[in-house]
Amino acid sequence: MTTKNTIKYWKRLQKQALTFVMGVFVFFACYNTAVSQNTVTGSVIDAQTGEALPGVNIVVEGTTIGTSTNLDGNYEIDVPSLDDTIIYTFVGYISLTEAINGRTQIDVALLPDVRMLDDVVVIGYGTQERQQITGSVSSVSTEAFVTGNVERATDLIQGKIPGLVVSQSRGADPNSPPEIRLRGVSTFGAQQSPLVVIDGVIGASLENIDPNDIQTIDVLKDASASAIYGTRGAAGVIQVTTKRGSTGQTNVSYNSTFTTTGVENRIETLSGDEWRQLGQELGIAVVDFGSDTDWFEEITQRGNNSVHSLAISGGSEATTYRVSGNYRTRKGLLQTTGNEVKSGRLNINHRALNERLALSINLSATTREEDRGFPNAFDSAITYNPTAPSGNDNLTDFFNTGGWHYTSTSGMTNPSAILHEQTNQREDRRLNASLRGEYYFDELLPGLTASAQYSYETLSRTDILYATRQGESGGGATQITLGSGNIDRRYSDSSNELFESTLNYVTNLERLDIELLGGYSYQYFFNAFNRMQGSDFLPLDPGPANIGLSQSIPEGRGIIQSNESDNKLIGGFARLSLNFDNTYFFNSSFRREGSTRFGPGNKWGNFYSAGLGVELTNIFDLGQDVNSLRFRTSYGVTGQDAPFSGISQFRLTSAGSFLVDGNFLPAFGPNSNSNPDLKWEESSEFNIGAEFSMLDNRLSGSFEYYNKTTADLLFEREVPVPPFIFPTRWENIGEIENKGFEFAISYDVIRQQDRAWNTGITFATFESVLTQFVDEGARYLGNMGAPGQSTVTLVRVREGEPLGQIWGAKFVGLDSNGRSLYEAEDGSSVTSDLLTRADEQVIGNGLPDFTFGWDNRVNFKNWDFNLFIRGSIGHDVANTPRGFYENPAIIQSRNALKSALDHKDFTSQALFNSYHVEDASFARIQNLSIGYTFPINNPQIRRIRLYASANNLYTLTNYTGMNPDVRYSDRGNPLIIGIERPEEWYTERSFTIGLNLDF
Amino acid sequence: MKNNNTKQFNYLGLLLLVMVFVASCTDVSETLRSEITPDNFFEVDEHFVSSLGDAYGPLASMYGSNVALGGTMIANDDMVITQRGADWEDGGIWIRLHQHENRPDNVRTTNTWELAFSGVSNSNRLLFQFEELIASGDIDASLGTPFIAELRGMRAFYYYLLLDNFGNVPIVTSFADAAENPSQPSSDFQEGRRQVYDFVESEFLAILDDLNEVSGTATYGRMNKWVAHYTLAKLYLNSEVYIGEAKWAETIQHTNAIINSGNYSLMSNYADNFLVDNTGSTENIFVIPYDKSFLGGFNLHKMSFHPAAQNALKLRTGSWSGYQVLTEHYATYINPDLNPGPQGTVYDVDPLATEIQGTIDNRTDVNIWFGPINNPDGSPAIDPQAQDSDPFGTRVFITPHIRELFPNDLRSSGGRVLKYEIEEGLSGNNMDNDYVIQRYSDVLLTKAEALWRMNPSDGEALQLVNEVRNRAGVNPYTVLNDDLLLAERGRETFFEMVRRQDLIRFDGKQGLTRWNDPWQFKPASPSFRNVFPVPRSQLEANPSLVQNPGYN
Repeated sequence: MTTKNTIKYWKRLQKQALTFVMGVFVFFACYNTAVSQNTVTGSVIDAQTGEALPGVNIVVEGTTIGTSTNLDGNYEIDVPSLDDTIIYTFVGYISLTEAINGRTQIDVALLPDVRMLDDVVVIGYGTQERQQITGSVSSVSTEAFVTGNVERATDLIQGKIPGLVVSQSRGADPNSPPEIRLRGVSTFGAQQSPLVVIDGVIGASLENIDPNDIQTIDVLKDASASAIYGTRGAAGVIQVTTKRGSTGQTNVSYNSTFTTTGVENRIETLSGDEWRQLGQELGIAVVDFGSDTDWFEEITQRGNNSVHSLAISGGSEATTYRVSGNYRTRKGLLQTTGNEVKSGRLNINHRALNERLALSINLSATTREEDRGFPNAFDSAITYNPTAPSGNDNLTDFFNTGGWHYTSTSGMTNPSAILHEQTNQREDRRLNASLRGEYYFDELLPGLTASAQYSYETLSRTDILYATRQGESGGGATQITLGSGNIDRRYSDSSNELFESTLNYVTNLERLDIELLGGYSYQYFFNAFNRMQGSDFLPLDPGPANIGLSQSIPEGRGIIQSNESDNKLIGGFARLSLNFDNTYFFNSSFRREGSTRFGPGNKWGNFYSAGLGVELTNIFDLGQDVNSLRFRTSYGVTGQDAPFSGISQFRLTSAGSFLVDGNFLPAFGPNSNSNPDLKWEESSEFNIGAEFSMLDNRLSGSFEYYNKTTADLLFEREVPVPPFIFPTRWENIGEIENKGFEFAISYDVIRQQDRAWNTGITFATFESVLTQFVDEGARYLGNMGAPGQSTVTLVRVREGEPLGQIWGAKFVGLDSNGRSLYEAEDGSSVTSDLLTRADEQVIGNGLPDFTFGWDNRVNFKNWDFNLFIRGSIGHDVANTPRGFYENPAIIQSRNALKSALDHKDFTSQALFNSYHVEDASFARIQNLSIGYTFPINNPQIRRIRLYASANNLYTLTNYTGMNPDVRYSDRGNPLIIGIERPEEWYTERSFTIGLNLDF
Repeated sequence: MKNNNTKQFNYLGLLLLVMVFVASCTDVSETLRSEITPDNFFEVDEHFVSSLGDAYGPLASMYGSNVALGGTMIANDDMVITQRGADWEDGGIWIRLHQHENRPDNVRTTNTWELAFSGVSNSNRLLFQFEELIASGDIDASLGTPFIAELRGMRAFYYYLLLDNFGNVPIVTSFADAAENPSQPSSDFQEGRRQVYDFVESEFLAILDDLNEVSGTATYGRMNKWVAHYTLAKLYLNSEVYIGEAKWAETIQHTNAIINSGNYSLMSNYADNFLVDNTGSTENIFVIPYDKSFLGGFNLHKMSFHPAAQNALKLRTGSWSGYQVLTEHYATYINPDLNPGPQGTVYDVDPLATEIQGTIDNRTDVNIWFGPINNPDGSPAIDPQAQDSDPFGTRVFITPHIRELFPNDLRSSGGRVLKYEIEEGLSGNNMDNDYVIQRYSDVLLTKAEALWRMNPSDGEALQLVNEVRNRAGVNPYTVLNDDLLLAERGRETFFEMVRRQDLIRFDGKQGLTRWNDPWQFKPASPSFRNVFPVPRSQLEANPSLVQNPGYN
């Protein structure tokens, strides 16, 4: 080290020491004004995440003096006087005005502008300024996500977007995703839920993304917005953008939650004593085993979830990255259920070649291990004899059923044995890799960009069903004999490859901005399925792993199956966007797409859209209070692909065996009615909307009306036999019309630095009418089922009538003998044996009149509060558990609901009728949370926030069943709406504590 | 230097551009990976033979379980499924079937319609394909002709079942040009039924000479010439019911064709026709060759037996305790008036199954399972679920007596349908026995009936019936009358799904037919009940169909 250098070194050290001392000084006496008379320093952070905000504009009010924050979010500004006022502004955040009041150190936190009015919106193949959008697009970003017990990406936006319903119709089942419907019921086809696009990967799975990795979710609601996705946009599009790293310091973020869950609402059944007593009272000989067991208690447990999520992000000027790992475990409400999810994600962005080339790499992997359990235990818990002994102790008479009490009444299985003598496991391994390159031709033709993207997504799924020989259901045991046991192992591999390339050209002619996009898309899907099943295990139960011990396989009674299928979607697309003077906007898109699934003449379809928007504040003087007022209108056509491969072709498959000369040959026959004329289902949608922002952007909102017609519906209809071979066939039939109003409004009631209150309401109405169907004839669907009501149907679908009609006999009262009376066609009252279909009528509708969400976000100093209420008004639910088990006569074979005690005068057999259809309107406190951010002035730790949250805290409803939420489908059939089944999962109430730690 | 660089960069971009268009594949033709299309089928003879199997597929679903025809047997005077609490309540379908109050939405008759017409459609499709292949020269006419005849025969057989069960049904003979909503031949029921009858008759007559004459292994379980003769004989036997014209002489002609062929003869032991391996029976003419591995669908052991049977027979599968034998039917075996024969100790029809003197018929124990059930070690079987009111308590004693049709019959009420040998240790839902649709002893009884109808004192008629009785170990009849003949048919052809046909053919005691007479748990029923209703789902799917008269 030379002397010169040494001196330099010392000088630097002195400077650092001085800075350090000054820092300490500031730290301990930050209100001391001694440092500099007219300089104000400080930092700006995001009020919610605590992250430093670089590039925030800082201006002294009434002057041109200004600066901006550096990469670390710090600033220094010379002010004329310490009595001045400073204004902090930053895109996407609410601007803040702060009087200096003599301070020289002012640290502020900016609140994100939840409405994101001027933000950038992710649309198909690109982004647009919010003002340029002419279709219907709603966005929710990190700040506005639902918090607390969040399991899946869709939980984040539940109730936040008008018209998008995330229904908890599957209750608290930890292993089935919620039903998602956008703008009513517009299709019966394969894809009733919106298309999911994650970082540009079309058709990606929401199961392969951890909620903690999501930055924003943009929902393309109308056909004009989604038409560029052509065949798969018919049910709308959910665009997910993941978090990425930013240039600058390395950020580490750790989030953890612990949740405990309990049943929100259970169905009460008769206790053993009540059952005995009711039997005596009604003169029904009930079987009394002498105990008193609450079977619901026997099969349920307190659940819990825990989540650990760690993310590291950062980068240099050229390369940014974000890497994250997530670990989730969950124990379900039903015993033996739960799951464990491990996922990782890596996003890398790199710029090279003088900023001309942008590369991005997204990798994600998720393994999900599920114990799926057997929800039919819920049904059995209602009906199993309450006097039967619980548990499997000391029941030596029941050795063959593993010690579980057994009754040979058909359809009656010990609920505990259902869960403990069987396993139902699933393991999913998902992998997604996506590479994208973008090149800017700034010298060749400024404004021209070319991009190419390749992505590959795989899912390997293993399903293993196992039943012991002691198991009655699945295993086949009876009280006197062991069963045969069962192992059923199914493996499926599915993958899809997507290749897309686009050319984008941006230019402007004076005041007109023009953007042109053209592209090509190729997607290849592949599925393979293998299955083996065997039973008859002697002399022991082998466990689920070793199927080789099965005797049924060598005897030729096992099952071995495999099949493969693939399909392609190939499309070309284009979009033109015009922006004249930030006042008039025009967007138009076109996509031509071909599918391998349709017959030769019908493979290709054309999908297009056009939209207009106008910003009125640039044309008329609407006064200072109106910040913006935009009108927009659009029209678009989207499609729906065929539900499976081979559907249009005549296919032969093995149809049993055929004895020829004393030997069995496989017989070949068609596997379904083919339909070579099958074609695209087409949805055309008209949308008109307005958006406004007022009072310094404190009040903002949007209003929409849409009318969507889906024609040539793809539907598996009943066909006559003869001439057909099978009683159903896929055809293009019918037309559904959906229309509705939606609005969203948001108001900053309080907007100050240390206190803020934002309240927002979303509201949506629905109307779905089946304007055309196969013919004018009615279809009766939705079997009530066993016990005893297998010929009773619950739903009627008919041309010209609204969807969701619940159908059946109208209950009018009891006759003098206690038999139920129903309204006949001629208005008279008849008993059930005289009832005909002509007497049945519409007794409810399963679709809501409107849904709403009410969100309140309050920040007070270091505290934050959130109250979110959502609801659905005007829908009915057919309470089938009551239809089966409320009638006291049922106790001669099954337990009844406690409400049967109020119906002792009912003497006739149980029959589902209007008495069991209930108004299920509800309002639910979906989320109530409170958080505290610790004030830490340690540069190493950027944020510590602790919060507590409750989900499903309270539900206001008159519905007496388990869950008033809208049922959009029944056992997979989208035409059957509004049915609650006894084997459904109950909903849960959960309490969560969480920690956010950023450093 | 910088310029060069820029150019290189732009070349890179251009490369991206080129990729866009080079990669632009637009081929969306579809290839199936695991299914077969007609394009790669029908290439070798084995393909033709195996494709024929599809014409037989629906039969296996119709007979062997309670799904279709097997379920509709509950409407007869020999079988029932009583309701025990929620067990077998099933929305009242079994009770309504038995009491002849069946509705158009009954799933059993709906399945019968759908499966029979699946058979028709499969046959039509195969006929179309074979005719195309013969026309194009891809198969030789000499190979094709017997296939065509066999397929027409199967189609006619399905129509024979449809005629019998529903009467007036659409006649569809084309695959390629079939109407989307075919209508019945006539909106007048009787006129339509006659046309279906004519179709079945003309089809069988047309193909008789083209069908395979060989019996035994080569045509086992297949439509051969003798199956056609026999079906024609049954068609003519019931001709008076179907079209109001008796055709006794034709009945005799076709039974004679079978008898004179010498291909078939009575087995010495009735039970041998129903063994687990009954392939060797010289008596069985048309069977469904059920197989527990290759051709499932015969589940009598599940449908019929008391749960305690599982242990007694060492079955590795539980039973559903469904099919029961009506007490009145059991009585026709032991009653010396209806069934003269050697007397011995039998169970009476009272609730306690008192031991009395009655006729010993060696078919009784073959057809019906009753009495106490013992475990393999000889210990009495116990049913812990038995009702308190069961006179035998938890000791399993199957009584011929049935307490009630509903709502809570005893678990051990009613003899159980047996007839087929049960394989010890059987596992799963499928039995190995071949189900007998047509049997030589019925050929004899059919001929006897036709002779008797023409001449009530015909000696050969009596002799033929007594041939069958002799094999059963009972005394010969000295005279034939309605009651005796119907009772004998009932015992001999029990559980062969011909009972309904017999009952609608014999005159009843209340002016209509036997089918309309009251019997155990069944009131008298109107004559429109002699056919089943057109299924509601079909009426809703096909607006051209009309419902059979009387049903709404």
